[in-house]
Amino acid sequence: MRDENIHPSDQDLLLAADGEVSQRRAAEVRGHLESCWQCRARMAEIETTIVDFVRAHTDTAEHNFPPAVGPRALLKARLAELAETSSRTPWQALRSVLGRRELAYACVLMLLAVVGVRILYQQAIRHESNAVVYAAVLPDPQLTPGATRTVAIGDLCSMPHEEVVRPVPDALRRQVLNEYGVPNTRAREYEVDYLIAPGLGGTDDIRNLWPQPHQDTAWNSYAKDQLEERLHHLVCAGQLDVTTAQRQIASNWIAAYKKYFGTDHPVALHVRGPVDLQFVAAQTEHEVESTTIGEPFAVEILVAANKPRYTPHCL
Amino acid sequence: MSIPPTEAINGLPFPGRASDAVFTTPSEIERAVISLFDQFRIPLFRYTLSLGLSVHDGEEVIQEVFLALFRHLNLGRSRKNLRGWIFCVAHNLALRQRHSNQRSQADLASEGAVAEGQVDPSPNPEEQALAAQRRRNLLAVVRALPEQDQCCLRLRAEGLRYREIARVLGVSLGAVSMSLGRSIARLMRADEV
Repeated sequence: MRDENIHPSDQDLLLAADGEVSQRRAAEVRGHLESCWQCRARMAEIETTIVDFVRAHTDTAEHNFPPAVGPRALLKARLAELAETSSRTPWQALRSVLGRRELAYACVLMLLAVVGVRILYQQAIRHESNAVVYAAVLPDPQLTPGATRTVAIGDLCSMPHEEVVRPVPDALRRQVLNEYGVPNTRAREYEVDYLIAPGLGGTDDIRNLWPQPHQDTAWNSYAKDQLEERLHHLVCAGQLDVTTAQRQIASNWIAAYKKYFGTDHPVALHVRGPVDLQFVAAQTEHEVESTTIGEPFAVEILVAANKPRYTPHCL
Repeated sequence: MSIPPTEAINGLPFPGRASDAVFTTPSEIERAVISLFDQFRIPLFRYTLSLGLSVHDGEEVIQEVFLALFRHLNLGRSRKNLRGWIFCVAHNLALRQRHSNQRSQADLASEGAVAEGQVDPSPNPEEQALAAQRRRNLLAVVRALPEQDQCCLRLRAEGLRYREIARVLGVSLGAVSMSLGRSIARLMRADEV
C-alpha cells in the first residue's frame, strides 16, 4: 500500500484523471489531492493544458470541413448498392451481368467443363496407384539414377547386410535434401537413403542417394530396408545375380518388392520399438501372429524364425 | 477533459449486447452505419487531416471506413468496440493514402495557419490575442512530437480510451500511457518555448 503523503507523479495524476488506474489507486490519489494544495495545483495545470489542447485540436480546420450533406448522401447511395449486392443470390448477380443468350452459352460451357473434368478425374483414379503413390516414394531418375562400385560377392556377403551400410555424412545429406527441395523444417521426415544399398554394391555417390519418406506412405524407408535385406540374402544364397538385383532396385524398388515378397503391400510393420521388431524375409516363409496392439495402431506382428533381427531407424 | 463514455457506442441501433451474435438485415446495418457516420465524421476528419491528408482525401478515407464497416457488420463480425474499430481502420487507410500521395510537408503547415485564423470568444482583444498565441504554441509543440505521440494525443482528444488507442496504433497499453504523459508534460511547457 502506498503512502498518501507521497506526492503522485504527473503521470499518476494523468492516469487518475483519465480513469486508467485501479479504484484503490484512484481513491489514494483523490485522498492525496484533498490534502495537498501543491498537487491540486499541478492537477489543475494538467487539466488546463488538456482543455486548451482539446480546444485547439477541435477548432483546428473545423471551418474547412465540407458540409456533411453531400458525403452522407454519397455514402447512403454506396451503401444501398452494397446492400443490394450482398442480398442478391449468386444467380441473380450472374443474371444482372449476363444477358439471356450469354447465360445459355455459359451454361453449356459449364456443362461441358463438368463432363470433361469428370472424364479426366476417372482416368486419374485409374492411374492413381502407379502415378500418385509412386511419385511420392520413388526417386527422380534424373537426380538419382543409382551408382555402383566393383565389388566381389564374397566381400558383400562376408558380413550381415546391415553392417555394410555406412551412415550418410551430414554434408552430403544436406546436399541431397537441397537437391530435392526438401525444406529444413521437414528434413526429419526423410531418411537420405541409398537407392542401391551398399550391401548390393551401391556407393555413397550423390547419384545414388535420395530423400525417402519415413512414414507418410506404406512404401517408406522401412519397407525398402526389408527389400534390401531380402535381395542381399538372395544374392548371397546364389539365387539372384547382383547386377539384376542392382538394376531392379534402381529402376523401381516398389515393383521389386512386390516381386520378391509376392505381395502388393508392404509386410510386417511394427510398433513395439526396436527391441521387439522382427524382420520378415518372405511372407510365405513365416508363421504369422496376428496381434492387435491397441487402437489406432492396430498392426500385425509377423515373427520370422531363424532370421537376423532388424533394427530400424530411431522413430 | 470531456470524454464520451465508451457506452455511447452501445446506443447504436443494434439489437442485443455488443458481443451477441445477432445478425441484422443489410438495410438495418445500413441505417446503423449512417448513424455512426453522423457521429464520427467530424472526429475522423480531424484525425485524418492531422495525419497529413487533404480534405478531399480525408473525405474519401471516411467513405471507405464506413463502407468497410458495412461489410464488417454484414459478415456478422464483432460489434464490440466499434469506435476503436472505426478509428483503427481510418488510421490505416489514412496512412496508406498518405504514403501513396507522398504529400508535401508544406501542406502540413495549413493546420497552424487555420488555428491562427480562429475567432476566440474571449471578451476582449487582448485575451483573444493571448488565447490565439496559446493555441499556436500548443500546436507547435504537438507538431514537434514524434508521430506516434501525436496520434496518441489526438486519439485521446477524440475520446478514445488507452486500450482503444493501443489497438488502433498497435502498441502496448504502457506505451500509450508513457506517450500521453510525455506529451502532456511538453504541452505544459508550451508557453516557455
